[in-house]
Amino acid sequence: MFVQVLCLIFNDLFMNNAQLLNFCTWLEDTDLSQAIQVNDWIVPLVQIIHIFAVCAVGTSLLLVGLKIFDRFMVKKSLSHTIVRFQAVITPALAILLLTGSVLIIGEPSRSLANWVFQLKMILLLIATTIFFWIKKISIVQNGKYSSTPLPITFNHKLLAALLLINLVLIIFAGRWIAYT
Amino acid sequence: MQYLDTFLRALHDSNLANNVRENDLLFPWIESFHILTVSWVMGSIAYVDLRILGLFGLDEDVESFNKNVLPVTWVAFFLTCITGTILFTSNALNYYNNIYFQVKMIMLILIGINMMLYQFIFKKKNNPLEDHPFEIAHIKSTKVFCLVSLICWFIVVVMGRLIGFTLELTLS
Repeated sequence: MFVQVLCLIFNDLFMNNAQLLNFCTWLEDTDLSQAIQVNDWIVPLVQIIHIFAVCAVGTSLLLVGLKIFDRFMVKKSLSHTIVRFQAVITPALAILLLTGSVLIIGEPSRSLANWVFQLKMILLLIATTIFFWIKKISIVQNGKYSSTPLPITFNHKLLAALLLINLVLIIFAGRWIAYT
Repeated sequence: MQYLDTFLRALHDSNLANNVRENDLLFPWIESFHILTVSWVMGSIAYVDLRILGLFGLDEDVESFNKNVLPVTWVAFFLTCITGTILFTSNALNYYNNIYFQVKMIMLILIGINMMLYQFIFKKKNNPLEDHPFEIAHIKSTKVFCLVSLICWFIVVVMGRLIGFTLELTLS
């Protein structure tokens, strides 16, 4: 019941937007979208690349979160750990953006007009903001390249908890797009 | 073969399988959880292998890096097995007959053999970590073990996605 009410609220907020639906119809008729729809192998291939990028980002964020909770790389500083994993996260996010765009162009109505997809995008924005916020305060705390660990504050842990919750919700939302 | 068929049918007809099949929400929830944990398994294994190959985290010695990452891998792998088994049970016969599922299982067996060969035979004989805690990939065999692991996990994830495109769903 609760889930159904939530669905209705999101439908009213986002999905019943005529302009968005018109845009989806227009996008669906473009040559690029038609090419993606006609070639059966494009969507599975792009989805597989997308999943590998999800693995990279998901694991990196999990390890950064665990670092903040003192369960990973306890002898290294937080800024050092973040800089190390950002080298993976940034290109993986670029791949996610690229492959995600191909999937959207291929099936715009299934994604853009889907409230779960819209929720996923909002969560993604929040997660990215939290990650860079954690990075900023950790670099202010002990410099970009210092490897000496400093005490982790309550703010760090709160942000890390929010980041991990966001990460789980994003991956769940990614799967639920197919079911809504 | 007949025993296997009977066993798969029994799994398919079990209460658990019926519940997963009949409940519209249960399968997507379990599948989502499976994807989440698979992504952590794949990602953490890749980090361990890339560290041994000398392509990531070079300022940390191999053993302590692995000690930090491997618990994540094992917990995620345990959860993946549970969710994977439930998903399999819900449609046992069709999964069993799916070529991509079969390849995925063969890869998982290969990964297990590769890991055991490395841990219990190769590592005991050579222990490369003692002499070179920061760089062990110079030993060719270690490189091979890591490459086999990476390739097999890569195939596991690819097959996992392809199952979704090819599985014939049976409704109870």
